[in-house]
Amino acid sequence: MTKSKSFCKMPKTLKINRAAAAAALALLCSAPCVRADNTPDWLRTAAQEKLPDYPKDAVAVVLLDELQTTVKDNGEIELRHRYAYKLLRPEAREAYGHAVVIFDNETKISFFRAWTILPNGTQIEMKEKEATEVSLADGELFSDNRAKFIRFPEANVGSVVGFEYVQRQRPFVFEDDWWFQDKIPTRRARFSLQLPAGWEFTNYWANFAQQEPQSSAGNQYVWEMQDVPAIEVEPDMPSFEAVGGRMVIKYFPRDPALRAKSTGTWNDIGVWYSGLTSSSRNPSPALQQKVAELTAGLSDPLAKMKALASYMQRNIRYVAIEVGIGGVQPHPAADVFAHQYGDCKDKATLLSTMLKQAGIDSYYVSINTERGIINPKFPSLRFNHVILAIQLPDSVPDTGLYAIMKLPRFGRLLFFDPTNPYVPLGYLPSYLQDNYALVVAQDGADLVSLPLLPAATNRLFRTGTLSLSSGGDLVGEVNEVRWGGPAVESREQYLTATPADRQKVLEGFLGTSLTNFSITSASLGNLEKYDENLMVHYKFAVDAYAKTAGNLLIIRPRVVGDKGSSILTGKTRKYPIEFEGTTLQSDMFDITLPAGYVVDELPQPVDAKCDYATYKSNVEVKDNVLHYKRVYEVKGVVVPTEKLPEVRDFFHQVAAAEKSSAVLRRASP
Amino acid sequence: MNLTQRFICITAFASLLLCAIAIVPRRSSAGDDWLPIPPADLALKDNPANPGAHAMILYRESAVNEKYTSTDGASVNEYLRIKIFTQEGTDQANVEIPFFKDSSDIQGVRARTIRPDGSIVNFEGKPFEKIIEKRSGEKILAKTFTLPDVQPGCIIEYKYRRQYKPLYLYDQSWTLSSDLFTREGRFSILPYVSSYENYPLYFRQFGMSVKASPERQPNGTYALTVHDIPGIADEPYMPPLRSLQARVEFYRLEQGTPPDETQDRYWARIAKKWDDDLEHFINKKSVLEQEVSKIVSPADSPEVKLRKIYVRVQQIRDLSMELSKSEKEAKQESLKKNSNVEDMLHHGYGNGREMNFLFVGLARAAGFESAEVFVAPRSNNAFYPQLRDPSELGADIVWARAGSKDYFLDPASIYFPFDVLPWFETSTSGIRLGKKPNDFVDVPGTLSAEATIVRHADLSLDSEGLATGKLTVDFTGQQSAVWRGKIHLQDETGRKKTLEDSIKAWLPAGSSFELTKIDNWDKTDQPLHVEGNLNLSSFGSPVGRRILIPATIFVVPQSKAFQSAVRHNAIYFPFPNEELDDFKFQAPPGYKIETVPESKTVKPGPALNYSISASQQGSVAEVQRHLVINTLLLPVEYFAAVRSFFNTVKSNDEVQIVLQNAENAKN
Repeated sequence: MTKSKSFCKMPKTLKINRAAAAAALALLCSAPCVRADNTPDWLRTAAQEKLPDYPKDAVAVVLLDELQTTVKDNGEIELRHRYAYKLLRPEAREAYGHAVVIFDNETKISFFRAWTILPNGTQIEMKEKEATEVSLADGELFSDNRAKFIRFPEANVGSVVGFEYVQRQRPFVFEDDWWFQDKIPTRRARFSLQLPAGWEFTNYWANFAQQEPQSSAGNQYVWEMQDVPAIEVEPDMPSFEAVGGRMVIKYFPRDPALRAKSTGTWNDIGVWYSGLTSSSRNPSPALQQKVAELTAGLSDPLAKMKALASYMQRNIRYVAIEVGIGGVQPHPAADVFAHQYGDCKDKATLLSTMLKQAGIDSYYVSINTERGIINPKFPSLRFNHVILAIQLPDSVPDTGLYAIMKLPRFGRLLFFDPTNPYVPLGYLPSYLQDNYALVVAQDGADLVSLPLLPAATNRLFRTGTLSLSSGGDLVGEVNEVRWGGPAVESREQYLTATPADRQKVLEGFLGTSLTNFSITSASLGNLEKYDENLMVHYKFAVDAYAKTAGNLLIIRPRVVGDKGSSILTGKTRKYPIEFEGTTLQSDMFDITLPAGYVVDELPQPVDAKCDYATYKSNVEVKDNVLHYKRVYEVKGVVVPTEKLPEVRDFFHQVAAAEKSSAVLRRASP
Repeated sequence: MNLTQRFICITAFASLLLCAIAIVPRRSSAGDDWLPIPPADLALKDNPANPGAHAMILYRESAVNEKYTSTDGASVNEYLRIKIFTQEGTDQANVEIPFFKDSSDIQGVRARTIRPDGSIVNFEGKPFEKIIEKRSGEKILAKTFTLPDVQPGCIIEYKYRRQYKPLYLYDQSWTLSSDLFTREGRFSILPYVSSYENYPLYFRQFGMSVKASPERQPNGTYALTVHDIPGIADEPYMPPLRSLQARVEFYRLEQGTPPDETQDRYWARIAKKWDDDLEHFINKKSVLEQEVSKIVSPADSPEVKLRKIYVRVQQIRDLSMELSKSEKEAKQESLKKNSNVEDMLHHGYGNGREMNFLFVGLARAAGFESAEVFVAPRSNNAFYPQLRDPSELGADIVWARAGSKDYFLDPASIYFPFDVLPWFETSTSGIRLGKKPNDFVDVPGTLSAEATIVRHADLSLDSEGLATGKLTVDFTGQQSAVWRGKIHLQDETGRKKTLEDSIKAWLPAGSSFELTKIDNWDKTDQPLHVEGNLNLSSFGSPVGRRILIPATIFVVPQSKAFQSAVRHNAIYFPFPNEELDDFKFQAPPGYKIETVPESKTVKPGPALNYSISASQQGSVAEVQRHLVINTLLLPVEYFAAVRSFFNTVKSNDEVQIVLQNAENAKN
């Protein structure tokens, strides 16, 4: 069982990538090893198993993935993991050439060994003392998360490698999950559970058919699966966690004193978290003084909320200090304020405390930044992020506030993510929309499905006035007005670039549509005023934009901006598509045509649609000005697999429309 | 031979002081005084010398003190003061100081934030000790901490002491350049002095003006003050990072080095030592002659003889090209050490250096003049003999003369055929071993025609604009060898996928390429030949009675890389190369070709050349394209011209062929 330390991860926080981590270690590890005849039977047995044929691109196969969980009556849990792989291709060395164990101060390793069985039967053993240990904390994350690696000797094609480790822990909560699906096929996966007398469990199978234990003697249970297929990586697919097979399991102790560690209902989880955070939101005099300073002269509650939210986003740095219980419990608001840094739960705590000082109530909201992880029917702690739900006073109208829900227990709530530095109050980051969230009150919690914001709240409105010369050169200017998602995306790009490099951001965007262009001027309006529209204005010149062909001049009316999709090609998909978010985008370009040319052909109007998006474009010429207009709308974010052909066809139509050109012909002299 | 194949290592230097040292007074503990903060620095909104950065280093100090090496140990006091300009610049407040636990410790960490109003917030916490890497016998840790209350406009500063264990001297170096602009840096080193033995300190410097050399002070300290060191921007096609860094390296001569040795004598001594290794390894004349007799025949021309010897050497199992093995893994395989060429021929394996040695031995046995040559791998650095830094010569090749022709070869690079050196071993310099002292040599460059990508596409269009057909790609010379080296550890499935993905990256979005065949994988003297099926969705654009198709199917990577008009670094191409393309487009049934683009040639100078021409034959349009990059390094002053060239290339690649529905044709 792993301690839940996931309350505080932002989407951009480093994820443990087994392949990358192993590759990074490949050059580091060259520890000695010894010939062994003490290779364990489980590994020898796995190595001798007759295997079915696997796809030729499979780099390896998991021969055995076994987790033995032994729960003691005092709440201590011993986990014994056994893995065996057969390496089928040389590329397997990168991802499966190392035994890897992740641990921290609460989940220390008491046994760790690795073995290689060569194709000729020779066996080699490596012990824990030959392992390399590295920290998994990086950059803005300070934690005790570490990993130990043992490089399998002779990890070559045909070798069988395996490792076994034991971890003992006293978890904060009696909840665990067992991941049994990998990016390679799994021949056999086994989970065994030994519970003390009087203990009970419940479990839930995510992304996999419900399995029943194959044997149960006393309080011992064994689940075993054979031939679990590999997860294939596809563009724009949901997160690995949202599609990978896993079993989530919860234990219920006999001793009522230990029952508080069990996550029974969503309400129980709320009570547990509320207790954990009960003393976190006490203000300090300095904090109170700051609230007074920030809200001075403001009587409107919404204005106060905006002032405090803006302060939180712009002034409190994201720094995660997660050691021990710090992985789930926020630091006191007074400390966060004093240091002016914190992680997501710290920021939520500080903002909640400041709002309270301004007379506004708010609640912690636990959420996972990936959709599809939380199952509403199986309460669990699979959250990795904390935001706030702010109680809206009746005097505050809904206008301009899109992330609002009315809940029986709480009334009218405005959801806000204080950690995201660019999404203003009233909006919700796209990855949190259409996602389950647990709103925590002092006496419990409600799981709610956060709304998917309408496309019109994520708007890009682009207009251009341009002029084409008879030589094909194009000059002109474009104005963009962005709000919601498109504004967040642009702000992040411009603000993370140095001010000196902001032109490169614009050049990068124009470069996706134009060649041989030069920006003659550019400006950004409201760049750091997050609750106002972002205005982008640029003037540019493009040499030979229109291509000459004999007496023809060929011009693409869609001057800049593309709605391309990575799903256009590739083999048949297995998994759904996740769009970034809903959006409504329109482009209008007026291009004055050169004298002496007449329109010979214009692109046909396009009206493409599918259940999740629409695209309309139209070109007409009036008074020697070419008017181009298009509207693109994404209405849904998750496309199930059965709808993929329809969506792919839609994007083919969009791609063709974006490339279409008008043909001008030189008028007779 | 690549960099990992080296086994001569001269500069690693950590000399243990075994002799007794006179007792000296202990140094006082590090002072707590911070430097005064000028109000102007607090008010600073931007760096006038480098506008628009997230942050800048206002002041940096690094003071090495070796005086107490024999008692407390040497130490380095570090001090860094950084001005934060933007919210994003606050990341500078997350500090990580790595150190080797076995030899050093980080002590006396102090840090503080100075708010724009001048008020100060001290870092009161304890640095978090992070394990970067720990394994048997080695522990690399880091002291990490984050400064409080950091906002744009703040100044942050921190200092610490890197304390070494007693009795060891470590090489010290000052890397003056970083990713941030440095306004002022002060560096000093007080060398260790012993009354019993002399350890004189020398230094060499890179990327700095002579005026900015460390100067010896009356107390024996070397001191250097620098100003306005620009940050190094990360840009595509930039020269190797090491060649851009300003730095000073201190070193001590190996024990037994003659005092006051001239540069010539220095290199003569070093080269002789290396040559002795070679001569010792190949000192098996009869074995070599016997082997040569099996390889060449007297009737062979000199070049043919050398080629045959080259091929024979490359038949040896090159251990350096395999994954690194642990000592025990090598033992597991019972790999024995090669003491000489006889062992090597007997065992049938060797490392890269030994392979080159074997070539020299065999070439000499065949009657050729031949020698080992150590060169600077220009992927990393150049060679400056005056700096007396053998580590610059990080690669080795061989030289042989046949008649009047000199050959520079690298048989240890087993994916490179005869007469093709790895690119980083060309257009560089080094030292040739042998009887002639100070035999510095320049290794010639290569021609663009020696590294080509030749692409043929035969495509049919339908009336919706879909283009399908066959693509063949031939990688020649350097291009093929680079590919073979890059994916040699993969199996056929892996190679296919890697090549397929790389070719897909040349194509416009929405295209697919299915690789069907790889030829000549093992024939390193032949082009690497790849075939496959193309599917270019929406390649042609129907408009009314016409279909418009771009003249070429590939994107120009350099155009994207040089998209921005702003450039800080010189432009660096690894090796001269050419692209030769031939595309045939079959019009859909019922369509005829209305126009094809006019021929175009762009040649802004000898370094770059591009031409494109199109013709039509019935319903087939054919486009031929030739792009030549015939240079390695262009100063940043040429960037505008280079950018313009590649933009012009892209623009001309996009000119359109016009197809017209024959039934609706007006003429």
